[in-house]
Amino acid sequence: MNKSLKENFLSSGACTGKELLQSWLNKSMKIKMTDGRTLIGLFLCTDKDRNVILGSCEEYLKPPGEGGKKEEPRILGLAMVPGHHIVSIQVDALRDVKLL
Amino acid sequence: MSQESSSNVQDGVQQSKDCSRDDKTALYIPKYNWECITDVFVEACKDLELGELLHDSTFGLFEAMSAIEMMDEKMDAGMMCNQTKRPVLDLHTSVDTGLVKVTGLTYPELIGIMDSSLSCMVTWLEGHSLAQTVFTNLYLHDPHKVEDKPLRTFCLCKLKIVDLLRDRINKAGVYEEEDFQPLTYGFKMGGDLTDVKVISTMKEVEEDLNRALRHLKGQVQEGNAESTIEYQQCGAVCTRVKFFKGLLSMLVALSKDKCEGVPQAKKLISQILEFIEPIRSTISLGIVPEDREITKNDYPTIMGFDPLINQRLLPPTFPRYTVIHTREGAISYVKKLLHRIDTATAVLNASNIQEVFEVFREFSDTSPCVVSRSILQLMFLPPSRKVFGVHTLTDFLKDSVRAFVMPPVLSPKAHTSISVEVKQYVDSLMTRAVRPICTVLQVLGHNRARQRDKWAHLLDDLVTLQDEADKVDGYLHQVQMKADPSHQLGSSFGTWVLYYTIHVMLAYTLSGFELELYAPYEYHYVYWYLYELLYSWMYSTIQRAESFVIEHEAYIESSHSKKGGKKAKKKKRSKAVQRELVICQAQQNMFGGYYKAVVGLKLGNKLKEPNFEFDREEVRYSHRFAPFGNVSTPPLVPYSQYKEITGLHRYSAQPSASDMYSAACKYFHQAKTLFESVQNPSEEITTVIRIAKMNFVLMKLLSGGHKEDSKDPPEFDFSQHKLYPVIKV
Repeated sequence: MNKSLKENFLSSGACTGKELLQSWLNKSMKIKMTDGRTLIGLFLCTDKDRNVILGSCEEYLKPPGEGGKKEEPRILGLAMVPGHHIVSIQVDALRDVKLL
Repeated sequence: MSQESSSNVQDGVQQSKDCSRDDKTALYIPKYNWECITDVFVEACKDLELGELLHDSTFGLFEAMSAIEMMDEKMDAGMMCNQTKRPVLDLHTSVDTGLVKVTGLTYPELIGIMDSSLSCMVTWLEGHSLAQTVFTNLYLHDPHKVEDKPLRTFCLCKLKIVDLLRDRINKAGVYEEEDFQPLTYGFKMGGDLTDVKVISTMKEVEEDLNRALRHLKGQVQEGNAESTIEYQQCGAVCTRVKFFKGLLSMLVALSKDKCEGVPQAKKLISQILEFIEPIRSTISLGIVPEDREITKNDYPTIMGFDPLINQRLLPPTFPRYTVIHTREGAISYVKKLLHRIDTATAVLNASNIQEVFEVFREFSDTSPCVVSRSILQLMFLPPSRKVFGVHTLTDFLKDSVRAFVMPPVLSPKAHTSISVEVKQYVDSLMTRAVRPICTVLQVLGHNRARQRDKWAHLLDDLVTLQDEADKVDGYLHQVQMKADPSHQLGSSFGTWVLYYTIHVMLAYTLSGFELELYAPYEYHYVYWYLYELLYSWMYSTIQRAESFVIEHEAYIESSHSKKGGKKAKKKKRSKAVQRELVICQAQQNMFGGYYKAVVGLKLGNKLKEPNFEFDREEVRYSHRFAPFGNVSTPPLVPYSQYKEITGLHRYSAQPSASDMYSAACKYFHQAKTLFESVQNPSEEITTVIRIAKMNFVLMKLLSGGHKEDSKDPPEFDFSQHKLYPVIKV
């Protein structure tokens, strides 16, 4: 396993925030919202207030993979998550690890 | 946070390993290796300027604008489930937790469930989604889970009814998004059982209930007070079972090919109507919802219903606010629906397109619902694309042309003398006519508001058909001239098409009144167009058609001079045509009266045109009649010509307002006399006669100087009739 992404970011001090965000574009992202729902979609856009736009977005009531039977997601398509409703953000690191 | 993130990473790795193990069995499950970046992300975002968007070159602000906003109560339908404090449970969980009974339901519970689910169905038929209406009933999600036989059978019957209605509406295709939502969200509609099986099981339930009723009756007679109530309740359930069974049988009968089931359906309708009042009077016997918190999308329900159960199935667009009908409202709706379906069966008496058109027009005038409209369409033209499931469309059209203009080539007595080529021409014209003529009828199946646009588009098709009909007429004329120059032929096919073209133009223009598109200061040219152009063309077209028929009959009689016996039929036909002519003339006079009245009101300074800054009358005029621009017969009268024809300067002495009122008076009087000469007047005609009289009286008063100095604008009161207003000053 490669070094984790986070260690990568922290070690490379030269990397600016913008470049970092750029590197996540079009990757799968999992966002947990304040009301407990989890969204999974492609990271398309963000701004200063960390409002995030996800493409081909799916909504899960419980985060997938956390035990219990697999729930059917609700297809949302293009969705914008207001920054203040974001609890946590995770990015899919499996693909394109070499880029970093 | 960082602790959580590291554990998350491990979870992710674990998960991806699990997935790879499952790969062979499962289909595609995306493998993720989640890495928590919350803190880094927040930090990184701070580098952005206010208002700066970070995005790929292929993604822009425009795309960003079309995203739905999460956690916005208007846009985010999924948020509702989490907002209510009460748990939203599906059927299986509710049954397991004992919240919903599937066995041993009491009569009041059954009555309540049946009535509520009827309310849901009626709400669905008014254009709401199945998920928010019919399928808020949990029992319908899986009727086989229900152990109680009456309830299970009822649920299956209900699913069948919904499925048949959906099928009718989808097949007829005369709905728009505001009429009907076709999505089924993958719900099962009881497809594992046949309609016949469900009906026979309903019959069994009915018999069981009848037995229980007899038993209870015995107890009532013994003076058991408790039994009296139970007897009533049981009777109420029994009536409902019969009602739903009848409804399903009727829909099955209507779905039969070749309209064979229509007489049976009519019989069933009258039977079902008998149940309406008993049901209405026993609604109060059913259970009612307990009070609970009411929000926009959540409302109290009885056992087995949950308005939020399908919230997650809704599309990610704005969720619609669905108000379920009351139980009383629903039963009244069904009553009206049954009457409408009954009226629609009148189409089966029509023997040609003109008569079908008349039935469709009268039916559409009552603004019927999408179900009855669809059923009417399918009765006329079932999916087999044969008229009433029996006649081919081209044959039916030929019969219609025969009845309307009787072209010699189609005359049953003329077939020997027709060359193959002529026959080909006529046949191909008839084949071409099928599509536009069927579209005319289909447009009449749409809701009133949508018809106007569709009429405008349809004109283009009719123009092409008119061209072709004229060509065929020309060709037939040439052939005839060679064969027998002494007997000339009229342009019968062209006349037939023209009849529909003018009907469509009239429908387009008149719909503007019904949809309240015209402002009073626009009335003068609309009225003028109707009176001077459309109705006079209509009159002459019908008259010409009639003359062709008479000519042909005379010709036939002169050549085979010894035949009688068909007189009765001829008489009946000419009577119908005379009636149509008189009504057409009367309508023309009505609009003539309105036109003169409006001009008079303008001259009398009562009707003023606002000062337009960015608009002119010419622009409005051209816009109103724009769809007529492509039509060659009758040609569009351009604005300049309209001004020239109607200019008052053409009179030797400038007419006064009072002269105009007197002229209007004459027209209204004439219209009234014509309408009164119609035998067996319909209710509509009686209303129009009354309106004509009232306008006549007002015009008489105005011409005599009544309220001459008043500058108050007149009122056009459309409350009695949607096309003919009562003028008030």
